[in-house]
Amino acid sequence: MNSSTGNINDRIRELGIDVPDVETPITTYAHTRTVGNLVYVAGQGAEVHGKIGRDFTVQEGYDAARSSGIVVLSQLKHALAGDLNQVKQCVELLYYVHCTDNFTEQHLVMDGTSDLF
Amino acid sequence: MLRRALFTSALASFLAACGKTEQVPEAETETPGKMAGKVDAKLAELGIELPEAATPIAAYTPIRKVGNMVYIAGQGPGNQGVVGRDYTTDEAYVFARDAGISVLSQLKKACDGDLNRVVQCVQLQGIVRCTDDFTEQHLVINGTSELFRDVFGEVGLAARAAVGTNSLPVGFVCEVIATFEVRDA
Repeated sequence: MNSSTGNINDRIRELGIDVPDVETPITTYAHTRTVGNLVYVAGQGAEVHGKIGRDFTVQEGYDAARSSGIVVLSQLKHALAGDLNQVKQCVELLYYVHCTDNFTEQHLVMDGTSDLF
Repeated sequence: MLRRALFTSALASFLAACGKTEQVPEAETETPGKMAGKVDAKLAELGIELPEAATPIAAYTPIRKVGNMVYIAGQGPGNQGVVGRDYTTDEAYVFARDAGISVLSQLKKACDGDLNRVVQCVQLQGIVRCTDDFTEQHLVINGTSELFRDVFGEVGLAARAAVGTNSLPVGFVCEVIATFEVRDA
């Protein structure tokens, strides 16, 4: 258990988040790879299609980034045999925002994932 | 699940507290010479001859090793152009496969010529140079992923992200960046 945040499962319930169990097959990529104590999670997207700056606002993008983050948590949970309390820290987060050419608030969109974590 | 036209994509790595995770496969008991022959035989079966590892085209090193991890710099195919304008998805798939072959050349060098030391492909980032409305980046990068799967089996499939961009160095159609876990010699 991570002493600074208490039980992660309780915290997730408090936030009203459902982290669904995933049983997705490996096709042309793996959802996670584990090396020692590091878990690498594959790129996860939101089920929303379009461009920010044209089809969606920053806030809508933020919500989509949060949804992507929940999928990351699902994959992470699967990799940890269901126990998210094993997580010590998020080491690195890389993100891509599908946006118009002149859009410059990618960082505010991806706060949706960062704030969730 | 594959998602087309990613609205946002998050690629993350986490540190977990204990080792209650998948086991690294036991090292084979065969001699190193025979082990090297296994992957080489697979490459021959696939009709792949690995070229000499490419030298850097700018200020970077093609390979970095940290412990048992091998980080390989972005590799591109010998083709230039834009997918969705100059090339179809199927054509670009072949270019992504070619970029993967360049990765294998670098990896072989990093493994002192013995590709059978590869434990798994850990992470793969595939970047596709494409038109603004192109949404099949994941199908293009399958060219790399399926090559690694054919060569190494299921452990060749990485935690992956495939994205599109408008431009790449020297006009490459795609670029792939890979990280592998390898055994000690």
